Amino acid sequence: MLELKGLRKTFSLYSGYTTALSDFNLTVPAGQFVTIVGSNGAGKSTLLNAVAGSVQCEEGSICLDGRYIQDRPEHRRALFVSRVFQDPAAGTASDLTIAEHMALAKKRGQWMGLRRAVTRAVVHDCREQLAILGLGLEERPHSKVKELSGGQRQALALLLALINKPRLLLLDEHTAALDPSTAKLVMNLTRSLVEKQQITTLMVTHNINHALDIGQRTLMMDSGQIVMDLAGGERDALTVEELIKKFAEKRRDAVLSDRSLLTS
Amino acid sequence: MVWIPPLEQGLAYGLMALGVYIAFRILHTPDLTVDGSFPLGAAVAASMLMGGSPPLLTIAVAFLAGVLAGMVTGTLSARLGIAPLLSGIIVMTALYSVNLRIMGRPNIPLLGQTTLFRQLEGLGVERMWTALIVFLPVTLGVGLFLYWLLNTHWGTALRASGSSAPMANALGIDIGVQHTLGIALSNGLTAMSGALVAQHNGFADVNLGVGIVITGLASVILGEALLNGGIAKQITGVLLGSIAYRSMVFVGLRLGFPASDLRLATAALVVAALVLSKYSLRPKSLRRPTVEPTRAAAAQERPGAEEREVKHHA
Repeated sequence: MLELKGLRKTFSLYSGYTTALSDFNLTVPAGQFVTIVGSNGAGKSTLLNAVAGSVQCEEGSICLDGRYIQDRPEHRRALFVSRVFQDPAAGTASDLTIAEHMALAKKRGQWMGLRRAVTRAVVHDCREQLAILGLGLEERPHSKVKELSGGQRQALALLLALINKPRLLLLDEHTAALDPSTAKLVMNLTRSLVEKQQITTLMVTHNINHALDIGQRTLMMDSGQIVMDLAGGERDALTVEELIKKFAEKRRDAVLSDRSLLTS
Repeated sequence: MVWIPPLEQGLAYGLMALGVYIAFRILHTPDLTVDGSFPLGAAVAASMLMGGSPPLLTIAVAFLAGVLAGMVTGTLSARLGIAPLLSGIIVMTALYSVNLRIMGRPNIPLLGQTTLFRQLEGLGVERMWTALIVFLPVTLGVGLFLYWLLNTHWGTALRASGSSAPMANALGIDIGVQHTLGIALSNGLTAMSGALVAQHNGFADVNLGVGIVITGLASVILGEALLNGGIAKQITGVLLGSIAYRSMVFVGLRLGFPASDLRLATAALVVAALVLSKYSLRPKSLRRPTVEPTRAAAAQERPGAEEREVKHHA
């Protein structure tokens, strides 16, 4: 279970301050898949970065399965939290082979010792896991990741993030940098892999269809707070148009051009 | 035998080239500390030899001195947030004074001292082979050690932090620590190279390191042109590149080019190699297609163009 209490984060700009998270509270039961939508600057990415540890909040607590992790740096949360970035180049390392990624992912958050990383067992495991993706990557575990396409890299990043079953998975618009057909493929993989393993997940998306279609709960954020929290029958019955309309109503300085942010 | 001197030099400077390879290619950090840690190794070795220390010990201590210098650079950039390029220049500058302190004067001749090579001569080895007998096992040994190290979990994590910091961080790797250790190892090897070269040349000089990082880079780039691929090929390539570079220098000097033009020629070589490697040295699979890409291919080339445009409107 993930419990966020009173999170606050402000960024200083040339023109003053902007509040990315203000008194943010959220409780996610174990195994729940939550999708998060909202316009640019609503605080979605800051929320994910705060939970992952790459952004430190000024106030508030982050409790994951009974452990308070808000004071740990990012690399010391990695044992419990894994994430997939928007940019495939950030989530995978060009110079490393697929098998080397697998070897490191198996050691996520653990002591990296002086034993050989890519053993026969790792390669075997690698082939088995890659076969799940159905992209033919299982034929080439020793290829460098820079030889892969963006979609293949993102699918690999997703697979690696799920190794050793993390307590929390963070997906930050992980299909936004992909072309539509590849994005669909990666989203289908997300659905099948994550839902099967029932991992607690926060997924930020700009795609309202995905937001309502995948997972069990949808949050809408604005100005660093949750303005709408939908689950169960209410969520199932909602259409994309209704959600966009609701969003316009909920937003304090409602701007209809935000419609363009939310693709369907 | 004319092939011996360039081979000797290539192997001795090869350790420095491996250090440059670690910084520039594995950590993707332009580290200029090397220009200071190379004479640091020479200074440490020369002063210790003057004091009567055993030659092998001087090389080990030179390595440690280089590690220390690298730790300072790494700490400046990773912990104190100074840009890596500037951190290197700062430490390189500071090392100039440190090296003068260690040596007590700008130049120490080692002609009368018991160097590694003199020791071998004392054992009855012919003079022309002594350098190869030292450099071959040392350089190949370091190469094998690096090959092993870079393929361990720790070494793979080091390469990951150089290649993609966000990913390394998300995997629980402390990239600051890794960066510092990597730069330390790089400068340790460089100082070790300086210690060997000083003993081989028969002197240590405070200006021994000026521009050395560019000769190291030239070796790395030449090596990449000769061999590229996995870690084993890269390390072998760097050593071959170092030998190739020293051979070119040797031939150039034999042909009568003035030694004072060496740096200019090396700089030109590095520029030419860097420009060429952007174009023709690339593997075919990575080259841009020459035919006009189709619409679908263009979409593949620019992934997410659609979604980005959407954001742009807002």
